[in-house]
Amino acid sequence: MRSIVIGGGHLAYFTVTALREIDPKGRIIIVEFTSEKIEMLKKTFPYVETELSSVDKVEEYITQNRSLIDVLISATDSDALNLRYAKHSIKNGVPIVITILNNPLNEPIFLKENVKYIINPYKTITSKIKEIINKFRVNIIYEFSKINAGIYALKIEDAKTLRKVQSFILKNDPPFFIISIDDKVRAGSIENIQVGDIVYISCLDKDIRSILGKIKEGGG
Amino acid sequence: MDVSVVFPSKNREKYVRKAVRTAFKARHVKEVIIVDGGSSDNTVEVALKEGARVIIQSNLVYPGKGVAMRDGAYFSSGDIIVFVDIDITNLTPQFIEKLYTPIIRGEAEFVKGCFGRAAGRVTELVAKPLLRMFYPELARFKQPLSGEIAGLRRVFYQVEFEDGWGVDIGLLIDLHRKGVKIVEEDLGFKEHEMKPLHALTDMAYQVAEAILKRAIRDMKIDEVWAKKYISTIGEIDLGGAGYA
Repeated sequence: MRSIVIGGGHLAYFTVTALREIDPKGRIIIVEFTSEKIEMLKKTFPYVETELSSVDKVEEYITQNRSLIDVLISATDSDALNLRYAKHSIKNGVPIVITILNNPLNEPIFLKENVKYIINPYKTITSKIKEIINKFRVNIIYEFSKINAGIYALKIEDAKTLRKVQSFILKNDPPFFIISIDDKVRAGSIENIQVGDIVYISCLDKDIRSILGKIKEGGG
Repeated sequence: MDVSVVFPSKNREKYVRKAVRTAFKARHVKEVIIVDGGSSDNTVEVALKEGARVIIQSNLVYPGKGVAMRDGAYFSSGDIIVFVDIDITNLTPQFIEKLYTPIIRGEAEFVKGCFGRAAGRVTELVAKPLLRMFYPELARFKQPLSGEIAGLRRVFYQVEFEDGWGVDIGLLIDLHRKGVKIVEEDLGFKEHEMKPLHALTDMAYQVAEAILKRAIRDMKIDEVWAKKYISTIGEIDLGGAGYA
């Protein structure tokens, strides 16, 4: 696989690490605008190739190499540039074009411009805060993009919730694990779930809504 | 030559419609760009409705004027980029045209706008004295901090943009250093919202910092002394609520 990463800042570090894990033998080329960063990148990632370019020459580089690029990841520190390069790559038929946002508020603008694969590093902030503070009974930890399912964190607030959750797990056998109130992982067995725990369940979103509905309805 | 007009903006719903419409009426203008600093009002919606291209500033730092200008420059596609403050109440197409006409005529690569009024307080008390000290060749500019500028796109791509209020003076010094042909153009009278005095403290600091940083780089002052001096400016207790 031949991957092009545009931008050699902190986003590139995570990007290159991921690309290397996915395809250890693949070619990774980082296009960067400053020679100082290029030198640093060469030291940090001896296996990557680097290309020093000016901001305005990147599109030309993409056009010239379009038939050789499998993946292009636009990860500069300017969303204006990321959008420009992503649009140009899509127009030139690069098979996979990914962009990493600096400002999450730009996501609708990128979507409107037909940039499909957008990484928004801030997306988990809301659910993480809710998870940490535990204010809500259920949090979406991760939602699969193509099916209506995800990983949900469910706070066992009382004995009634405990019974409903145990009953659901017994009936549907979803993958789950338990984090106790003192942040310890407890073995994933329904007998081990206690009031105060958070149970992480992977299931369909309609199922999680059904559990919540039953808890709300009351009764044993 | 195509022209892109860029308006850095935040919560400027009441100005944006007129600004975009006026800019589109100027000759050669092919696009109007609003770089939004995370508005909580309808600035973005109004701008899109008026046919502007919109991008949200990559980094919502305050003050992020330089970040917005950099994003605007990168987002634009015209041969010439014009930056104009969005809150100018007497903005006309001619005002915008005046900024880029010297470039179209081949008389300049970068144009700094100036106005028929006394220059601002930060200009007179900070920028001009420091320019006289370190860049006397730039002391001829009546309003070196003016945010109304135009330049060839390739010219903006040769230099780095300061994040905050130091951006305008930084561009002037750096473009001059690169040998770019610069002229100052009188744009007439400009009506806009004036900043209160306390709001100028940060601006003055960042303008001073931008000039001193370049003076160090260009070996006009001793680096050790200057770095020590610059690093202590922000630590001085000014004792007023205005220092924010």
